[in-house]
Amino acid sequence: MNVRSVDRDETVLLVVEGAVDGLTAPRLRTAVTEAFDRLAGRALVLDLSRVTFLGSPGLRTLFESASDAVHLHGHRPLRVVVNHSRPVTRPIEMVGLDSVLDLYHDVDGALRGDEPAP
Amino acid sequence: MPPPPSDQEEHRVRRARPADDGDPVGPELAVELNAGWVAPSIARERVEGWLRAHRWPPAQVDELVLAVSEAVSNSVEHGYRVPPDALEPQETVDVRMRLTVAPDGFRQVEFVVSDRGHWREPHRAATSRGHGMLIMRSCTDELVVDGSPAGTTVVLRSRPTPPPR
Repeated sequence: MNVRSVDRDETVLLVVEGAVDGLTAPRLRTAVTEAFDRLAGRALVLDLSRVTFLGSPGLRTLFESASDAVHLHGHRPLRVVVNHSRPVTRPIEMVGLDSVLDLYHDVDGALRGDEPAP
Repeated sequence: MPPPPSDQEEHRVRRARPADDGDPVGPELAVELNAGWVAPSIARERVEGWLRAHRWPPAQVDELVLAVSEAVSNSVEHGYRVPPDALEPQETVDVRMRLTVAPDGFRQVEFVVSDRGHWREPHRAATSRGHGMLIMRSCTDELVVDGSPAGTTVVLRSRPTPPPR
């Protein structure tokens, strides 16, 4: 798994690639925590459209990040780009994460803060 | 698309033990994995290759790979309580897979994932283990979890699937 961070004027974008499982989820958690620490009022967008596998440790990281976004950092729901990749969307739906994240199908919409996908 | 290379990937390749595992395209395959955090990814690769060799429907391959990965992850995290940075745990997780064909030609695969760790009943759904159980259940026709002080065996059965054309 690789995480690339892109800082912009109004957003911090984390682009995640590869498998998010028990081996790699701790690194994603660290990347998200560091991004939160330097947001300075900007929105955080997680781009998962190049994630090839998402297991329960990765889902837990997303739940924790979503919770931190709202409770610790006073932000609106975490914006997550999921494309239409089944290895990512299926596990998110199975555990009900779709109800706590703002899901987008394209990065531009997420960066603009458009209305999330239904 | 293959995941980007990393030091873990290299580690994983070295640790695979194909010589012990038998025929990767036979109706049965047994894989013994070192119970480190890299085990789920090796299990995913082996299960995916075996199912593809048997021309299993791709959408079901993804779901079964996910289910087996969760079972192995469960053994590493909760059976053996392997810390995230452990490199060389001595314990192992066994993954056995078997394909059966019914008289009507429908096929089914069964995965047995077993460890010799200590099973504890998950008490909340909103934990990774609760999620793991939910995922395993969603991806299979039948899920059996047999936990005892001597270890845990998880049996995952696929939905019956029409023969390949």
